[in-house]
Amino acid sequence: MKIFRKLLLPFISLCAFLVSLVIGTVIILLNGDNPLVAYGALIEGAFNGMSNLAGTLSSATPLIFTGLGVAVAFKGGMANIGAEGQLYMGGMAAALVGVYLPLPGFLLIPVALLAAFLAGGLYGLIPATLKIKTGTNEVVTTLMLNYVAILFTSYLVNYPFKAPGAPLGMTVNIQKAARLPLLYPGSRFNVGFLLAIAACILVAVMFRYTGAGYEMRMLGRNSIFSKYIGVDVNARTLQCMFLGGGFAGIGGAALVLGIQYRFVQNISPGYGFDGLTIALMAGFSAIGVIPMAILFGALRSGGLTMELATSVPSELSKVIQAVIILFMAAQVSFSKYFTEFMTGLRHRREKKQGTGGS
Amino acid sequence: MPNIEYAVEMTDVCKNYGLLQANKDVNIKVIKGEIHAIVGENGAGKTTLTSILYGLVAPSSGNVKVNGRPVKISSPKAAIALGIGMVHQHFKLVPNFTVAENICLGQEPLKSLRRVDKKKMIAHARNISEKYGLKVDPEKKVCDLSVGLLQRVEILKALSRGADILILDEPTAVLTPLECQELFKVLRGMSEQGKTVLLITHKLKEVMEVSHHITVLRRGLTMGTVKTSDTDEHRLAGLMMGREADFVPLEKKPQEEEKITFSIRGLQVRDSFNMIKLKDISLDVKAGEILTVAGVEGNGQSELVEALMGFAHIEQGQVLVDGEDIAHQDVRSRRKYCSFIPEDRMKTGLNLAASVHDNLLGGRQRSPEIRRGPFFDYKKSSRLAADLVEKFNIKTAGLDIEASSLSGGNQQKIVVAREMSFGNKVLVVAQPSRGVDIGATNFIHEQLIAARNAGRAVLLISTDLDEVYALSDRIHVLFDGKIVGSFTPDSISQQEIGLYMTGVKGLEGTA
Repeated sequence: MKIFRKLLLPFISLCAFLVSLVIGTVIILLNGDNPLVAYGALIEGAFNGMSNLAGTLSSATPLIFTGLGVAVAFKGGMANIGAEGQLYMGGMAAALVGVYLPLPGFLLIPVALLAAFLAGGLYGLIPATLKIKTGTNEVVTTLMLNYVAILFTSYLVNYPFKAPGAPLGMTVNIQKAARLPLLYPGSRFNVGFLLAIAACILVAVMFRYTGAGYEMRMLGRNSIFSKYIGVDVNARTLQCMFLGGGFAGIGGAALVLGIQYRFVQNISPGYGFDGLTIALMAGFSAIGVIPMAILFGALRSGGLTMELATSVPSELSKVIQAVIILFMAAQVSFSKYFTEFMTGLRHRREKKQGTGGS
Repeated sequence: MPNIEYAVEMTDVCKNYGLLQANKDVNIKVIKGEIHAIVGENGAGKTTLTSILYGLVAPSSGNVKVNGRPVKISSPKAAIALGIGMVHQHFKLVPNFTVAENICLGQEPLKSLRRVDKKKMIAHARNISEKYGLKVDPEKKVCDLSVGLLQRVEILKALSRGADILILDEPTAVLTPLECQELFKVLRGMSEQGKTVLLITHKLKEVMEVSHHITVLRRGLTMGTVKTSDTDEHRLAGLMMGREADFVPLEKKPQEEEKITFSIRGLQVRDSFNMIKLKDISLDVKAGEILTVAGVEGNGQSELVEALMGFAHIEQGQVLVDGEDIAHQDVRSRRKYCSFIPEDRMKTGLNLAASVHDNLLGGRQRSPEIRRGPFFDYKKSSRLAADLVEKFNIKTAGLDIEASSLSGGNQQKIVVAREMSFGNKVLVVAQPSRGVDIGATNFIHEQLIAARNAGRAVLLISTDLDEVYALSDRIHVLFDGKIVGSFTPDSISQQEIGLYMTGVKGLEGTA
């Protein structure tokens, strides 16, 4: 039983992935291409050779951060759909520091990352505060705040911080010293990836080995119990969202300091939303986020190669992602029904006894 | 008496939920046109019985006859077709529909093009309300009505569906005394018009006032049906509460200390609707004593526990542990002085989705007992958890399995083990044996007495009189948010205490 439960999530994640590949095959066939060639190109583009691998890992870097941002918040009981917005705020903050702050090189990157963390975290506090004070559902508020952040940063880079003469809204380039050092020359694979791995390990340790982590885990599963054992529920809720928003914000910094070297309007092609899928597939495990994010990075970077090699558009990888999302959503409710069913069976007689005479 | 016509006959009806027998060989005969009361304590099987009759649950065995014909009632729809109507304790009405719309819901009169004929609907509602003397304005919205009127709408709804047999589940629980009187008038009127009324309640006074026959249930068994004019409240209370000799008395050390460890002074608490739920509650618990707050559920027990745990706002009064007022401290600070066994272990007492280990650690997450430096030391914590599992005889397949996979008794033992393990001077224990098998109940009782013998102050909140008598040194009876009597278990019989619990006695001074 226990083994079964432990394997349920990976099993369903795998099924979702396989089914999405099958559906992808159908689409490739309808497109008049050979699926083997297409998938071969996709895999080759993602993993074959150091430079392709570096491309995959550099796409995975912001995804690890957003996936982690979502996972942390969910683990503490906050359904954070707002990683995209938090990423924009964080990216913007990092860009402003990177462009304007006259700091020595060794300080510039840490300060920019810290600014991104704070910006994303504070942005995450808005829905958390609304939930605590007014009971507003955070799913709605985090989702809506995404658009606020996207439009707000768009305004900033089109008006006050617009690079002179730029064709569309963007800042000027960040200082050279603010660029995240490369790990493989000729790519954008940089130390951000290592930071992302470190962040995941840090969070995993926090959840498993600290009192705060224990309280957040308990809170995510049963807030009444948490209150009863003396957890300051409101404070922990705020902390969770601050952390979650902060990591998503660093995801934005990874984009700005590691890939684009400036803030461009609409900078993210949906990394925040991908982070949601990644976190779901990882079962909100901080370590589990890493392989899932790499898989998604591979789909992104391999998709481009596939497009060049065949006539299959790179959008196919989006179709695959969409199918995965569908299956994961189904899995979440399925496992909920499953646990409810099992506990229901066990407690039915006691429940009846409890309400037997009223 | 030849040719008595029975509206409902139930013979040897049993209902099992797993191992629990909610109804054991229930026999009941309800004469057509009478008001028949079914009384019993919580958990006596009243609700199960009526659920069978209304088709909500199927009996495990036994026969049901309605109007002399054997029937199988498979759903509420089938029950309605047989002329059985039910007024639930919690109203099932659509708040922003009018009275007439609610009464006709699902059977609206139609005019051409399947449009609802509002005029007819209102006329129908007015008709039926006048016929039974249940006055209520059919055009008013239900959300604007008082509780008493809501109940009328429920009754009208059942009557408009052609109910000849009306089941009312605890109808007076939500009514003021005046509304009760009006309800009884209505019920009598219905009985005169040939309708059969089944009244489910535990309030004996009302039963004596309004019913023709009374059937008493205890622990799923029918204790007999009596004519109301042949009995009195005392005898009914005896039948209802009657003590069964299946409790092994546990040994109690004679009380030595006279030191008051825990006391409550003038506690007042309101619920979320701003209704006063506890009025001026004061009590003292000595070291080495089990003081019990007994009473029928819904008289303020839950509010008392929540107020003490720090879940509900205390409007007035003090909660003193060794003289220190903790009434306005947060939950974490209170737990330094008091341990709590809450009444709802599924939501409050346990995190069912977390492991046995994590559940046993609750409240210790900041304690150095399970840490090395700033981090959890799983060796230490597992040892602590394993010790508790062994000491409290918790049957589990391991420390890292989910608490939800344990039986109710073992789940409750987790709560008891954890709360006892803090060694606090004060234990607040609510319904510790609810939904727990006999073995675990006895074990938990032993632990509570052991805690008492070790000099802790135990405040027990319980609705189960057998438990109250097995454990208490002193008993306070809570009725309608007030303490209406204080006794020692040997100074009062269960029958008599039942009178206090049901509000028959004890209100002279306070009402």
